[in-house]
Amino acid sequence: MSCTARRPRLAAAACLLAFSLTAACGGGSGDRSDHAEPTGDRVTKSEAPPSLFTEKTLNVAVKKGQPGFSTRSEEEDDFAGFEAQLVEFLASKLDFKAADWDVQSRDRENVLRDGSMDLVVATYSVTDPRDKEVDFTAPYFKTYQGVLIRKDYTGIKTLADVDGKRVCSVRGSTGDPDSEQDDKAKRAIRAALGQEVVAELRNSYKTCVNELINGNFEAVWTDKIILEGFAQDPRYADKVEVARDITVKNRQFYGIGLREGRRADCRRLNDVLEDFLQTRWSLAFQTYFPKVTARTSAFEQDYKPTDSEFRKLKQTSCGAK
Amino acid sequence: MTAPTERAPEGGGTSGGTRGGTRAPDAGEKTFLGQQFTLHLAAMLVLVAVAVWGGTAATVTAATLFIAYASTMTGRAARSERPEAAQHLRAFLGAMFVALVVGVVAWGIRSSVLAAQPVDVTPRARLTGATLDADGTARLTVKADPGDSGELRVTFAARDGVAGGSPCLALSSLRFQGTDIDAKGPVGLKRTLTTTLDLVDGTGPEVSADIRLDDGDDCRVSLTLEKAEYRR
Repeated sequence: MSCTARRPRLAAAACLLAFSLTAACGGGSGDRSDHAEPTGDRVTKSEAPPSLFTEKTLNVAVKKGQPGFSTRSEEEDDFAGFEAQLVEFLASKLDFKAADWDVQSRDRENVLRDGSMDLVVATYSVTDPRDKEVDFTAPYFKTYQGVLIRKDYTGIKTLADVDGKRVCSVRGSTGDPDSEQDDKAKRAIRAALGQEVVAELRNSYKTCVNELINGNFEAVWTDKIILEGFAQDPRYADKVEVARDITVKNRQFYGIGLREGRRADCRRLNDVLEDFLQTRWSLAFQTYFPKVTARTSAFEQDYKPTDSEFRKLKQTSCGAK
Repeated sequence: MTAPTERAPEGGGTSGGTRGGTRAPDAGEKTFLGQQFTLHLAAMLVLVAVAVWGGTAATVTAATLFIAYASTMTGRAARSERPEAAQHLRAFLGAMFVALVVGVVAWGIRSSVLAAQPVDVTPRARLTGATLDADGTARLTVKADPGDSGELRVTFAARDGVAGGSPCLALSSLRFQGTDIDAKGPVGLKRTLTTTLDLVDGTGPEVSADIRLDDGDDCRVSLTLEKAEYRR
């Protein structure tokens, strides 16, 4: 429309009306796209990374020497254990082939960030500092912490007895003060077992347990279920045990780690994990933690995330804070 | 502001009959009186707007100007012996009536809007025992009289206080209770949590509420009060 009509007032009114209508219509459509519901998949399709599960083979970081969860003997090629079975379940449901690689606790964030691994399924506790570097799924396991001691050692019966003793934990684990970022949290980890504890870090729990057996330490401190795995392993079963009356109330939820920004893949993993919890979890636990199962019928209560816990933690998983 | 004038319109004021001693205005005079009415109304609406929406000083100033304006106009009309003066006065009084009606309605709307707005009492609110665990209780105290307010709306920032463990914020909730509020909970915890507490009738001159951690076994949560406001 020309805005230079002969009757200037009429023309101005017409132009104003036309401008208003244009603004209302054009602005309206613009607003719709700008205010679309913010979902995790809101990254425009051209920017979104392709799904991990379009790959035939995914690199999965697992623990090599974590009895119960994932172990591989010299003669075997495949990993075996609760987490190995979980990886198999994921692969079958999401139609990929898993190439399993051993990872140390301290390297779990690095292998995801540098892209060498696609998933980390390695007794990987969801913590705030880690969650800032990588994304986690909802949990498939929960555990408190405890200490492993020699069977012939009587110096530790309660948590108070641990104070002043030499204790081993693993670099990059939740027992490593450097796994936290602020000083207050670092101090809290150092003091979790007592102010006078002489704590040292090693690269793997296997090393800690061997040094415990050799007498270099009086205790190994980490998640109870990891300690239970060593205590039931035939190589260590007659030498070490989990101190029954000691529970360090740092509750851990294990999730699958993956690179940030893969929210759609993470949600698919959540769906499969939910399926796993409902259909396979109990049998897998009984298969790979037979001594725990034999000792207590409440193993699900102790180690399996409840439906409510899974549902609530699912809401804050996959990078959603 | 354009000063009202008593000048008769050109060519006006000579035609038409009379009624009750007052001559009816002709078309030109009607236009002129209409313009007078509009001018008076515009001037008075400006004053009404300032009086209603301005601050206290603006309201006093506008009201003073309004009274002065009305006094001047009525005084001049009373002193004038010209026959048009009565018509001008009618135009002025009509405008003043409309302006007053608009003013009363606007004042009513303003009062309702102001009454419905929340009162920010954050500076007068304190949270003690803000690190909560399963056995702990935090206490929120607002040292301000709620008056007619029926609700206290509070916003907290929450942080996990457990080092070396998985975050438990999403698994926990808060429960609010006390004599000044209706018990409320559980309210699911988030990093930023906003909730509205219903106040018990007649509560004052301050409001307190106890806050407990629910479903928070083995959790430790630090709360920081971000905002507190009374609402109707």
